[in-house]
Amino acid sequence: MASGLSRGDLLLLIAVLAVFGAADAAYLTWQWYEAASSSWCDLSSYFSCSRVRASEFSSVGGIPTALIAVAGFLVLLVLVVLAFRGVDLLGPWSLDRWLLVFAGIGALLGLGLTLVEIFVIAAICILCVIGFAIDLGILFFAWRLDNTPLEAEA
Amino acid sequence: MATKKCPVCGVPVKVENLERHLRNQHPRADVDLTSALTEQERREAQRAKAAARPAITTKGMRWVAIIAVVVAVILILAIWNPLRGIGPGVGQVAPDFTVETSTVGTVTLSSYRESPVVLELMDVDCSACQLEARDVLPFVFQNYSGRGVRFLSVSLIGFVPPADTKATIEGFKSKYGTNWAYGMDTSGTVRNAYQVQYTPTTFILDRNGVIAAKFVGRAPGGYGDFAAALDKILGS
Repeated sequence: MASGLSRGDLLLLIAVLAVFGAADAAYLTWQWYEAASSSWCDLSSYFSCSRVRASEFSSVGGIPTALIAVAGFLVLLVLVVLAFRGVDLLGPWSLDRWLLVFAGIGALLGLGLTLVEIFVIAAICILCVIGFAIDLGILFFAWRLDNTPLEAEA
Repeated sequence: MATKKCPVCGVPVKVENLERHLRNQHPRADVDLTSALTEQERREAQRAKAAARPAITTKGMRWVAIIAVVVAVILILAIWNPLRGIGPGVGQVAPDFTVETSTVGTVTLSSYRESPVVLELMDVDCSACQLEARDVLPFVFQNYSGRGVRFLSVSLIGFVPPADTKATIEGFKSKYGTNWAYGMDTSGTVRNAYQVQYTPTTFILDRNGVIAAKFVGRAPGGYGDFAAALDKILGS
């Protein structure tokens, strides 16, 4: 699908997905803090965001997991902005490699949380799964990006 | 575009890519990056890099638009959730249920027929429920229980964590003086039957069990809303 897309296209796709991911995670964070007396995105007792929110896995040390996801998506967004500004290298790695690493970490965390939802909580939070899917999309485009040579390279 | 031979492998590399080439191709080579380029070459490289910033193609824009629309639609559907039921409303018969009480035995809603009923679906840990129990419900109870209105609260166990227990419900009753029967919806039967999205959700039922008023969240008019609905049922 992504064949024939330029480096700029791939970066823009990552940016758009990161914006949606951050919005999704921000909504989940807001629900975690503000809407404790409401149920939401509950389709059934299995597809229930409320049940996932009520579990011990919805936060780490009092910080909602969704807030960590917001931070992760924002990091990806910052990396894309830097790439668009012409930055190639960041410390030991290229910016593309950093994007791939962060997208990989996000996808691994998303996979872990999804497995916890399925096997431990026995309930699925649709919005969390959407966030995971967005992460996988970013990982795919970041992988393509890391394998796309710089147009200007000799 | 100016090129320069790589000081390690001798391959001609565009000036603006020399630093990247050295880092990627010869990470172990001990080359001083600052001395690899002259000041003028560095300035040229910066200009070339700025010109070579990632370009976006028409095809890319098309993909971005498609993906943005698809993801936006999925997110809106998930948040808006059109499959979510709205539960029984005014004019409908309140679904019957039997649940365990916080004291002894069970309570069945239909056993309250022949009396107007204030049915509150709540959770001890819900702050809106606490405010309703502090500011409104005891006063409604005080003024209307003597006129034949019966009160029943049902705790939707686990709606707001941690899960309510008999002890926490009895503690809640003592704290707020809500001394009527409290049921415990441990299986989610009541929650599903009434499609509860917010706590408290409160129903005022007439003598036939028909819903005369429904408040999702706190009653906006407080005591006045309860009084208006109950006065209408009582004919006063």
